[in-house]
Amino acid sequence: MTLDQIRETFRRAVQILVDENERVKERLLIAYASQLSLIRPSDTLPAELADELRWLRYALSDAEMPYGYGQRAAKKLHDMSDEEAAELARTILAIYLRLCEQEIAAGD
Amino acid sequence: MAESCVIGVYNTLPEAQAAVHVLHRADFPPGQITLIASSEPHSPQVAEYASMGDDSGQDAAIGAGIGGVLGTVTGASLAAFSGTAILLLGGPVIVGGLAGALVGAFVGSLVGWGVHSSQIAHYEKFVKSGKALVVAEGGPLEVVHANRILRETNPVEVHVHARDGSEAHEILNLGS
Repeated sequence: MTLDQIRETFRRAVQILVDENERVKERLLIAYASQLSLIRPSDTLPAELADELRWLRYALSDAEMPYGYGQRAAKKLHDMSDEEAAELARTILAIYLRLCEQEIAAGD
Repeated sequence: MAESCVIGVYNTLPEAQAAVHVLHRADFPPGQITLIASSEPHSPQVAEYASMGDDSGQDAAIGAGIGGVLGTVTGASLAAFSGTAILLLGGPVIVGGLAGALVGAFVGSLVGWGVHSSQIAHYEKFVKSGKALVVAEGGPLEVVHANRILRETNPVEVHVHARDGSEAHEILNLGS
């Protein structure tokens, strides 16, 4: 994915977090499974965002990560609290906002 | 009809419906998604949904592009299928609440989506035991895309199937 595609993927994930009617865990599962899981580790992101995305991915689905517990998003979310899920949702929004800031800065 | 698909097996109908919803949000074409479950007594959820159904099911199902699959079921089965338990769920995704004898026929029609004939009994067993199947069919890239999505939704198992030049073969085994 290009940086533009990654930004669009995050935009769609944020939109899901906002407009779905489910509890935060369900919204997060839909946002991750339908959008963010499609971003590959090899996709290029600025270094600081790459670290955050890696952490987010580890928190939500570590089945394909070294030293992970081998759990997918549905299982990870089932086992976490609503507060933890809400924090991850805020992280998704924060990464999206920083991607937007970078786009704006690049246009200056 | 596409000759490749990914099949996710889910313990419950709500889990399968949630997986279908995720595919929708990923913009996977709704007409290429099918939800299959049994209306046997061990699946009260399907029976409940079936009781809400109406005769529009058959037309909707065919209109949704699964007519080719239903066409492999006999005419009598199709009529019975229509008369019992098809429900359209907010788009061209159906829940087939199938009487026991029809489960084999319908699941058997998965061969048309690239499922090897030797795998049919495997899926039939799941449906008869009350589990639900989510089938996403399409071109190779669509199927790989759907596979990556379904793996995150807590399926009992996920398999990608595709037909090759000789006969349908399972090409990947990507259990959850």
